[in-house]
Amino acid sequence: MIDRKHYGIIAFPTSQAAAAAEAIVLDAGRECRLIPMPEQISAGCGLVLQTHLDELNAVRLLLSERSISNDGCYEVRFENRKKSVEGWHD
Amino acid sequence: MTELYYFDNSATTLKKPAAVAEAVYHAIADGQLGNPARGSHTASLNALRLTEMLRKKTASLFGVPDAANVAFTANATASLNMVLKGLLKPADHIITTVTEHNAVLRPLYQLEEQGAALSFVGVDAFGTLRYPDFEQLLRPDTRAVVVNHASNVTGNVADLEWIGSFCREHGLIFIVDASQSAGVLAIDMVKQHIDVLCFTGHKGLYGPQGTGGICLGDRHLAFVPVFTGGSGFHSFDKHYPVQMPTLLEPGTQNAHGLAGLSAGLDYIQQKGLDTICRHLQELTFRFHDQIKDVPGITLYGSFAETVERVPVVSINLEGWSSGDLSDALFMDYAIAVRPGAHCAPLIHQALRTEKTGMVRFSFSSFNTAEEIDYAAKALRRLAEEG
Repeated sequence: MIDRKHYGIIAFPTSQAAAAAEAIVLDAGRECRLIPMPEQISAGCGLVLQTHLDELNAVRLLLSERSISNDGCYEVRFENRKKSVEGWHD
Repeated sequence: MTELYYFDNSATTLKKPAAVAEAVYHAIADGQLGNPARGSHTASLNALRLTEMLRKKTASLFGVPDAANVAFTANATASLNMVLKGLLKPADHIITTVTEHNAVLRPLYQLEEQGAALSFVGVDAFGTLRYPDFEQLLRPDTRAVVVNHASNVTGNVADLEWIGSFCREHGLIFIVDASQSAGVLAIDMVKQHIDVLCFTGHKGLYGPQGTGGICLGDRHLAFVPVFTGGSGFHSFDKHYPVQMPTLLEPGTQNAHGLAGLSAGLDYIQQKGLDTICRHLQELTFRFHDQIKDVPGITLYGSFAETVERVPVVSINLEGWSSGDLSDALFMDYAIAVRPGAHCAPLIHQALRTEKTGMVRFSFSSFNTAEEIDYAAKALRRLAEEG
């Protein structure tokens, strides 16, 4: 189960790309979920791929190898009822 | 109820695989399909995953380089309007053919009214394209070639590989209307150099009406979206997203219909496109061979044994109008065919049938040799009755 208080996410340009990414990651035996786009990234709607934070790099690499481009990777953390979303770099 | 001998499959396939009907029924009755990509709950994601699975199947069937380049629409007419009006400009010269359906012609005529120039490749007496015309019609401002893979009137098939090579050689966008050939003939967008393929789901793919799509090849094309609206992404952006497939899929997808189309593609994959193609060729030539010497008959299209065809046999019978003949076939023999003009005015003019129209028999993989023999006998009897 992915930690709901601290996890990684990957944003995509389209829902189709998000769905394609989900299928690839699940096929690779890794855990992931499609969840709503955090308002800190884009006010509005859309889906992002949620992963374990310690698997974020591996998932990003996997998707890159399968030519799925992304709009950014982020670390999401909940502390004291506050949600922070920060860009993720290797 | 009297059995209907249905030979109007070029209009829509009447008999569908049982799995198609079941898929549409379950898509609604099971209450598991929401609005694709409009939330992260199970119902929405189920619909999203269904459409993504269908994208992969469609890409596999047509040799689309990337499944993301498959967009779903309501039908081929919607696809062609979105493509022609979204891609071509008033300053463009466009080469097309006299075999085209109004789904191509009317959007092109609208572009012509805005300033675009159109040129038409002609046909010979058998309705076969005159390929040297392509080179002769070429101009410095030519931007695109729009061709139907197979004529809905004659059943003749265009040589896509040849036309695709011509387009590549001259840097032209190659747009193909596959309304009559999808699910009937092999299509490979890469091998045939197709930049845009428009298809419908309710004919040779055995899906429900209200399904179709657009496939893009590996060349980047700058579209201006004809329709804009909700996309599920970037809600506060004034402009509609330009990424495929969202670019060509504004608003809610027909997930219930696409569930049926997905089952239709499964049917083709399980039965084998080669097997379907061979069966349809056999039916077509079986019918042709039995009626070719009926007194007073005129057959349209090329029936040389070496020529690839779609399962269309269009005729006229001396002494009969196409409307009266089709009505007699229906009333006396419960045979369903299509009379008149077939939304393709230029090929009727080229074959001089604009006044008479034609009676079109068109077959599907569900038709049998027995049905073909029955139709041939019925036609012969009506010819003898006069």
